[in-house]
Amino acid sequence: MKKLLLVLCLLILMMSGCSKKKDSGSSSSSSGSGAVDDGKLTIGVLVLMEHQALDDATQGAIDYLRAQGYDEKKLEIIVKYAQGDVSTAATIANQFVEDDVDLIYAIATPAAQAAVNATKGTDIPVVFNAVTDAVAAELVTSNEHPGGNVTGMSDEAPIDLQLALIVEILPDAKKIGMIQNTSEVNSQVQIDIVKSLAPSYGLEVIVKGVSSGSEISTAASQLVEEVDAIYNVTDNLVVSNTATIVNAANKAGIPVFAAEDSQFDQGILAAESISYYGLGTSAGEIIEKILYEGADPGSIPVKTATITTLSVNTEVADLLGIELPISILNKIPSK
Amino acid sequence: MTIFLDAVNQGLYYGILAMGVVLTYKILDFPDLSVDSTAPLGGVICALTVRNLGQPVLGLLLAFLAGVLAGCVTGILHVNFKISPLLCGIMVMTGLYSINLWIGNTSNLPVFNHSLIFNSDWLVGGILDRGMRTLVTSLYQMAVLLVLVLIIKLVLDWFLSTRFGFLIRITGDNPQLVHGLGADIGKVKIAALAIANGLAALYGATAVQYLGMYDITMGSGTIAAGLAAVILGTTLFRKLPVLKMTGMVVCGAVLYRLAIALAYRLHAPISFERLVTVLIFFAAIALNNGSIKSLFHKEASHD
Amino acid sequence: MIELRQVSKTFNRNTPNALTLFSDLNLKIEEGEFVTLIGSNGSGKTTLFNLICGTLYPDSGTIYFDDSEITHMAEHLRNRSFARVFQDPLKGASPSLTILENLSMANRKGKPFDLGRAVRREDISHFRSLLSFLELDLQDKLDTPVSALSGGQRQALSLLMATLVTPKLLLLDEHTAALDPKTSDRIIELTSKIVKDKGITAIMITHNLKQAIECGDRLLMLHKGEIVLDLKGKEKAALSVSSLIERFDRLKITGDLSDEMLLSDN
Repeated sequence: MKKLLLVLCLLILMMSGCSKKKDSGSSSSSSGSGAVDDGKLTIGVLVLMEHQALDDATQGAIDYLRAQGYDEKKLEIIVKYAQGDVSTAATIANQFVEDDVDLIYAIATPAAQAAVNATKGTDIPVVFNAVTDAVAAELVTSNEHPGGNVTGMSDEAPIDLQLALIVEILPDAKKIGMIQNTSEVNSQVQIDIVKSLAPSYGLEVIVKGVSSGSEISTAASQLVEEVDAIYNVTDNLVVSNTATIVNAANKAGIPVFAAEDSQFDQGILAAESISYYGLGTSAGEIIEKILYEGADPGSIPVKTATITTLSVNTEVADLLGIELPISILNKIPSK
Repeated sequence: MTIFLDAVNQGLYYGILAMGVVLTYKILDFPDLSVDSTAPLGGVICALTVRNLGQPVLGLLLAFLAGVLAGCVTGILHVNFKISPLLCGIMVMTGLYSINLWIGNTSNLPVFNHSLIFNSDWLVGGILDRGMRTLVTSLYQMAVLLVLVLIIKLVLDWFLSTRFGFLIRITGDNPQLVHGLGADIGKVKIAALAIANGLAALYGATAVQYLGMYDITMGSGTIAAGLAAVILGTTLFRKLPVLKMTGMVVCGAVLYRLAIALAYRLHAPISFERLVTVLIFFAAIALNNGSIKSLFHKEASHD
Repeated sequence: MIELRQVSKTFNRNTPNALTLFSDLNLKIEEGEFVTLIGSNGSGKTTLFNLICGTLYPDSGTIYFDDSEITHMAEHLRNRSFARVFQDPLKGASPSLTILENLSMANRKGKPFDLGRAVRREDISHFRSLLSFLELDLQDKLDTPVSALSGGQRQALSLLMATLVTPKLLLLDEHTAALDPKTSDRIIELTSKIVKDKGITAIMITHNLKQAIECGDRLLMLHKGEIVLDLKGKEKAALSVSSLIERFDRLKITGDLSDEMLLSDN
């Protein structure tokens, strides 16, 4: 008897939760594109997990939209985290669809895939961010012409610029080391690109794979013995553990280069970095086009970060005994 | 409504996992950790079958067979090499991770654009109302899952009522008797582990088709979810023997996903969602086994 | 029909604790014999059973069963013809299964455990009559899980299960030692009856000298891995508890037999 009561309570709570949502200002279910509307618009933001880079991408878009004049009265933005769990991402995406949001903004590949899966057969557009290869993830048919109701920003870093930076600062470098999170597809994509471009810069790439944060310390200590510099790509796990990697590199007296800026003050030597916040801003522009200018997502090409910022840490250079070439010193933006 | 239906659906395919876990953990008394990697093994095999051959049902079947193979490995490590149950599971879980990566050649394979057992386009194609579409899609998915889970449950129930099935049950609570009956206990253990891991892989395959993608991170937390479903199910539903253990753990799995969805519904602060889930479990079990009631009775007697 | 030739067994070989239990043991038991086996703790009684059953293998020597060698045959294969009842009443049956289910499985001994139905309704009346013969009120408890039974009931069930399919050799390993005197007597009564009715070859280990004398037709006494006494027929019948104790003294065995057991004759 008690159990049945419990289950009933659960069900009632669920149901009451549901009806509350439906009442609070969602557009009628039979509306068409849901774009230009007199009523309040809603964006459901689905973030895979809490992480500096992903949070920056979220914030960049929100700040842009608010700055454009779409305040809380005109535009409701609901942010939900999936705790790194694919099932939870699916549940959140389904909830957004049921709540009839006007657009889903999904950050990271599995979140974007969950959003696309949930919106199949509906006309809710999806804008993604922090997805390195949108074609491989089957979010779009091609980057130039996405084709469907999905588009977004790719966080593929300008790897050639970054390799050029490494060679400029360390002209004698022969081998660069990278740590790869084997669980993250974004990582694989970027490392493959690095491997294909490195030879033209006279560099050999050595990769050590890890599947969890606890393995990074060991992998890094081994890697630093074999290479002249470490290069961190935009891999969520690697970025979160920048401090550990820098620690190991400092002990071996070699520098660490990064592809993005969120962990720069952990002791990175230099980065020709993309900014996730900047990616967020660009996504915000795309969202604005779709929601308020009636643009068709399928014809908005997926772009990568166009602006990179050169950051150099002269203190780290001194610590490691690296003499920065004049060409670099000239480029550092004056404070 | 969607979040509720979604939770029930997820609970149903977690039920497939739970039926496998109850076979090893409860009946055989063998805590098998390898499911954390056998589930994604099923997932990747299914994803590849769906993407390359366009055959979703075949994908489920091949996933099951792959899981059976993995379970045999765990079993052989234990029976022939005399390695302890926990260590066998950990070894297979760790080694299989690399194999899963190698099989998929990537950690992420989308399948939502391919033919799946949950494709309801033929059913909802004509429906214009968005809310109605979502509802019908969810109900169709539930129907497919109910059929799948029911078939598995009935087959497993039949199997456990056979002589060989009884041997598995005896192995769990009196291994000496298995020797005494003249049966080879090693074969029994390997068979049970094979079936359980086959089911875990089948769970992985079904999850991939439901979620529309395979991602290697889907494996982590599998054994924890399976155990939660088994313990919740066998504790809360033990007064309904008509369900049999298989039915109890499927209900446990559904309750488990409902609890998680409820924690979400209650808008718990982001990082506290897991703690809230645990509190719900605690409340469910404590209410059920009367420990809260007896707490109050003690207070009364002191007055 | 069961024969041990020059069997030796040492425990903890190549260590300072090495203990040679058997060296050059020879023993032959004929078909149909009901042997009682006594001896002080550590004399090798359970080890002898373990060697016969295949739980342990000898270091040297051979074991024959019905003229074929079984020295290194796997335990479960031997158990297709042998049956063993242990001292611990909890070891004989599966506690989570019911009496009916346990008996159904025991009934299948010697045949493959395949995908056929485990419990067949047509066997129920047969099982019921066997259970009523035990006179322990079990015939109406077919659907009770074995965990709900008392020690004595479980041991009776174990005995029944061990002999349901008549074994070629029955090994009873102090199977009444954990029971109270009244139940113990009842189980011995049942044991003797079953062994006699079915003509089973049996070996029974016991610490109870009265049981050892009254049951069976051959008595063996083991001491430090050697057979020091082997009596059959009239010589065995002429034994009394006190004469056995005398023999024990003569062999200078002290302190291993509790006073209760010695006094059980009175």
